[in-house]
Amino acid sequence: MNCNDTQNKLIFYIDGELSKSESSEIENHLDRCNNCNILYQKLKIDLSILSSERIMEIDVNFTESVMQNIRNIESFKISNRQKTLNFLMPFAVAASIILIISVGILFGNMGTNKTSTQISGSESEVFYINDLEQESLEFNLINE
Amino acid sequence: MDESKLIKRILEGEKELFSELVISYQKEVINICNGFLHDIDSAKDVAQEVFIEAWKSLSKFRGDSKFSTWIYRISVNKSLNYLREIKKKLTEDISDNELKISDDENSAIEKEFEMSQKMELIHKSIDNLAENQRTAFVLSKFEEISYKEIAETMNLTISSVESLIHRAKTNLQKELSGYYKKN
Ligand SMILES: [Zn+2]
Repeated sequence: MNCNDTQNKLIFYIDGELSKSESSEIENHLDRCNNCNILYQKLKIDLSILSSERIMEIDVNFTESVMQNIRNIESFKISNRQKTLNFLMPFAVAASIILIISVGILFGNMGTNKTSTQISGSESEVFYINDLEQESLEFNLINE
Repeated sequence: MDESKLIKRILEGEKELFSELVISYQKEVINICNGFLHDIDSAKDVAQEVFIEAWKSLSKFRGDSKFSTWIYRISVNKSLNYLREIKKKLTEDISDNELKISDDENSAIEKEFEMSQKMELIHKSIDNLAENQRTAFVLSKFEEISYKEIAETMNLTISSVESLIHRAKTNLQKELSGYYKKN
């Protein structure tokens, strides 16, 4: 094996990826050639840096910090949902009241328009009650 | 506990069980991030983000790939994004500096430059690899990650992964030898 072939295969030799015969050819060359040997030593040291900087221990603080972050995210989600609800609540109540009043007025008007037949009184009362029962807007928001 | 059962229980509301996944994978995740960032503190920061991302999208984990390769993929993506952002910030800082040199900014850039000077030659050579070669090479450096897992992580076939790693090593060797010969 010449210098060029050897140098092109050094990294694979260091990583133990060559066949036995190729490895021994490289070893033979390295024994004879100082230049390639120096290159080999330097390459080996540089590549070993990669395995030396690896962490091997489990860090309890790391786990705790991840879990704390997750707990924060979760409680933020819950408090945000609560905040949205608190914010929307007055609007929901106002919307319900407006709805009730307008339905009331509408049916009230219908009643007065059809004065000849005296049905409106009791019927509009029934609608009032239904409407109160259907105050589901708020309810839906809470249950969201 | 079986991993898919564990994930099911977490999704069903036993949130604290997520810590078991953090314990199982933190070494690999931190080491993968460090393989790209070459700085253990930054690697730990990015690894935190990896687990938080995994937490947020755990319901999207379908279980047709392994959890390991799923979280390795998040680790690779987060690390590469982090590097892109730093690079962007650095070039922005430099072009800002050409217009208006502020002492604070200047010393910050000098510090970054010193840091990069201190970086080992091997790190610089890895950074010069194309992204897919770099990813395959970084992942191949961990005995606990098989070529099959690298292939799954990168969405490639095993033979493409092998060829990427081969090219990465050839390029690394060329770059390092070139440097040794010059000095
Ligand atoms: Zn030689």
